[in-house]
Amino acid sequence: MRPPSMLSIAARTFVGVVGVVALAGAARADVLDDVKSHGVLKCGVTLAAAGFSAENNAGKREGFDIDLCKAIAAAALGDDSKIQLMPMDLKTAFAGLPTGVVDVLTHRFTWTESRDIGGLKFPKIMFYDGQGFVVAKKSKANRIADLDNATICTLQGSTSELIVASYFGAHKLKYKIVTFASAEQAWDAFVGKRCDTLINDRSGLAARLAKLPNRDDYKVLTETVSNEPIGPVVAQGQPRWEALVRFTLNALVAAEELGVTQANVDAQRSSQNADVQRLLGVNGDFGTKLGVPNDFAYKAIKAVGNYGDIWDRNVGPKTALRLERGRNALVANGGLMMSIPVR
Amino acid sequence: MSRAVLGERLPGYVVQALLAALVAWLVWAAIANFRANMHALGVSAGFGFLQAQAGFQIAQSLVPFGPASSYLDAVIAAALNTLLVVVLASVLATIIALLVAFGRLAPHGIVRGASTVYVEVFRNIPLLLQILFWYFSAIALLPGVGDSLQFGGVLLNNRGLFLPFGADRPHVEGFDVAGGVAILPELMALTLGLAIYNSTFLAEIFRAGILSVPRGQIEAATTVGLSGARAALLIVMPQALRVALPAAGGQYQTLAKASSLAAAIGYPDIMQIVGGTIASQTSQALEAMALVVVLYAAINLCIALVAGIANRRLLARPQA
Repeated sequence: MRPPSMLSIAARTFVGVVGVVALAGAARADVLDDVKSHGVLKCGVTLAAAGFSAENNAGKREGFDIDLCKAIAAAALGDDSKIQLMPMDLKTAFAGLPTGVVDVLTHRFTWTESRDIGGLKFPKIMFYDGQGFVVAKKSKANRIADLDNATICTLQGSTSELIVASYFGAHKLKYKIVTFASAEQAWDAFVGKRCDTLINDRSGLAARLAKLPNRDDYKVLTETVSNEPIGPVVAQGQPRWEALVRFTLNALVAAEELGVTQANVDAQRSSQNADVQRLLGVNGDFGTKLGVPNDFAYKAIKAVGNYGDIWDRNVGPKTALRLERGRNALVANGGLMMSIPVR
Repeated sequence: MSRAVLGERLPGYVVQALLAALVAWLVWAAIANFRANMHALGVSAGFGFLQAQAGFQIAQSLVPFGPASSYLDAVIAAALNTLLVVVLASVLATIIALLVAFGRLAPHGIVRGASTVYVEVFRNIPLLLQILFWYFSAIALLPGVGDSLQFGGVLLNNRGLFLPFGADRPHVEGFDVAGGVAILPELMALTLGLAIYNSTFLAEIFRAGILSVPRGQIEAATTVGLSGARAALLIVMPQALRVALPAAGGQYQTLAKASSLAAAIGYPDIMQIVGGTIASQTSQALEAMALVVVLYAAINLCIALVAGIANRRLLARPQA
């Protein structure tokens, strides 16, 4: 065989390098247009968190976060089945959003100042969480103050790392930290007694405990050491897309406030209540202004129900997670959850 | 006119200059495009964040590190941790590999068989699986802090191996062991996993090197009265290394890159601290990943450099 000529080497190199340049790609023109032209919504979701994003026995991924993805797909495309779920860890998720690998993260990420300034936008808080510590009951730790000199397992790059540093520093407690790339391995190390305690969002701890056969050997300390406003994330510089995501999520909360449920949403379309009429797109042109049909909120509610429906189905008291609404109750019921006025 | 003919008619330096210009233009276009996109997305690019206070703890650091240290300090601590595990695992892998290589060539059937089984088993199981196995079995088998195993001043439990350091003796204090020098289970498991997996490849490389030495050399060594071990060390190894070194150098580079699997078991290396914690806390994911790339490339280029120098020295020696 003849050795390849200089020109054919050059040609191959050119193809390779052009590929790299193409991958660098142009900044996304408009995510909503992209989603519509692809006919599918790409959602970055948690790898595995029972009740939030986990595969059921049939191998289908379901949960609170998946329902939020479906709601957005129903609003943007009129069909909640047109979703592509991309389970991602924290590293790939934050890099994937600006580059267009995903359109939205319906993950379990906390809205923080540095993330917001850094280019990640949180259209609406959908879960008020706080971090807590889980310990083995045998350890006899009842308060965080009992954890002096403890070894703490957690997820690397999570806000937990900073919370531990500031809380233990402020209370003059000593600690050692072991951080893992995946929540599974952090949890396995804790259950394997590598650590005395593990810190995570209380919802995350509930999801883990739900899957343990001996869940009663563990307890979550009562103190909550942080505020964790959690919600879907979109890339910065996409005002149309950010608005659509925000008001789709908002519609789920507004629906619960107005008594519109997945079961009665069809009947509610003929409601005489002006608020319900605007919400479901019977009156007004909010949808058109957002770049989607006027009944986008109706489609979302029809697909997954209102906020309370989503809660009860995935994480509520009747599920394995046994989570009470707590901070996530509607304001009318003493919680923090409220909608932006639909007017 | 075919392309090959055109290529032969143009003087070589013209084609090379055109190619260099093309590549330079493409690289420039890629960087400019990247910067423009980042600007359009409003992502602030740059490495200024390295000076800011990190605010987190690192489980193991060879240099002083606390929550008040900067992100740059964290990068340095992480890089040193990666170097530490790479050096430890390389040394251990080399020792095991030499023993196994000679074992596979031993006249005794049992030794030969055991060495072959060792190579075939550990070479054919994915490295990540092996690291997770060593880690979780270490945690499961070692006792808790309260029931620490004690040998002289040394403490062993599922929080690590604690060695006395001068007058500073390790002792149990509440949840944890205080004093002494701690070797974390993460470091132990990662070193063991990397060493065992890579030793199988190194053993085969060394064996090939040993086989390349003509039998006459060994027979001559025996004739002049050298014992088996001295013949191996003085006559066989220097010649075998000459053949084995280029391939072995590549294997050490593979080991260095594979050390990034540390993130799975919570060993605070470059991938975990820079690519994980720093990337997420600063939201400068692309800059942090670029740092990770540069650090691994630098480590591997250093290994290549050392292997190259060693190779040249071996070749410079007169043939035996």
